[in-house]
Amino acid sequence: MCIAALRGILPLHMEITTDILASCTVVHPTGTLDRRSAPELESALQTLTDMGHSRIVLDLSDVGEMSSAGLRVIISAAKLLRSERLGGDLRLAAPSARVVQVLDLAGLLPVLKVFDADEQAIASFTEAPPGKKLA
Amino acid sequence: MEAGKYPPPTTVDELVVSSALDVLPQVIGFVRQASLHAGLPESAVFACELATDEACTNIIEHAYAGRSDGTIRVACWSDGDEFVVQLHDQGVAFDPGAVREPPLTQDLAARPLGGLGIYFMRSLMDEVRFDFDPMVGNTLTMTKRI
Repeated sequence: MCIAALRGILPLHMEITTDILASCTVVHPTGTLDRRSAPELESALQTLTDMGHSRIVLDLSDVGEMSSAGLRVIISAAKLLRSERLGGDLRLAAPSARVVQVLDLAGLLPVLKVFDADEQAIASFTEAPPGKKLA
Repeated sequence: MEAGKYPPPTTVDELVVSSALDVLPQVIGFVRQASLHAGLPESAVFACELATDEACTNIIEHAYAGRSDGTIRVACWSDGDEFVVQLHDQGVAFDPGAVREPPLTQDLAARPLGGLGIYFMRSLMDEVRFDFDPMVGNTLTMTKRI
């Protein structure tokens, strides 16, 4: 599913596609995740959360660069999804070396679940049911 | 670094842009080229790029409060074993002391969403200095040792 509705209301700095699977939802942004594009990813994640998707894989394989603006979106979404109310999680997949550096700089590598490939991140939701244990 | 305020006049690369978020790629590309030209290794180039992204975003969002009719002057130069990125604006003065370092706690729920930009700049560069002058404007000088 492509979140095409966002195109009409926001200048498009980032292509964002979404795949709804049985175990989770995979969000795949393409481009640079900075202050220009972060609101677009934030809106996409918020839309999915509002629709009841609480187990989300953020596939970062096509995000070359990320600034703290991107991190804010990730932290905010992970906090929301891990909340008591939603009991889910945001898991990251296939970050580039530069994105890993940014995550590391912010001390987020031990906090978030980060996988080398999206298949691993998807499988992690199958292996471990969502709930408080994930947080 | 006192020398940061007085760049060698013959070796400065300079770019002047408006205070719009859409200038970010141009500014970062400019700093990338200048840092590569100065001989910085890729890891240091990356540090300069990300620190510049954070600094430029702060100027646009806070100094100019989102107004796109302001001006940002970006200058880069090498000074001995140092590479300097300097950003100048005439927006509202910024008090770096008012920004607390974000706690990098492993408790995600306790994580604040703000403060990472300044923290990144200070972590990535060897020296970060803010100068404010009501007549001249705001000058941010970031230094990376080569």
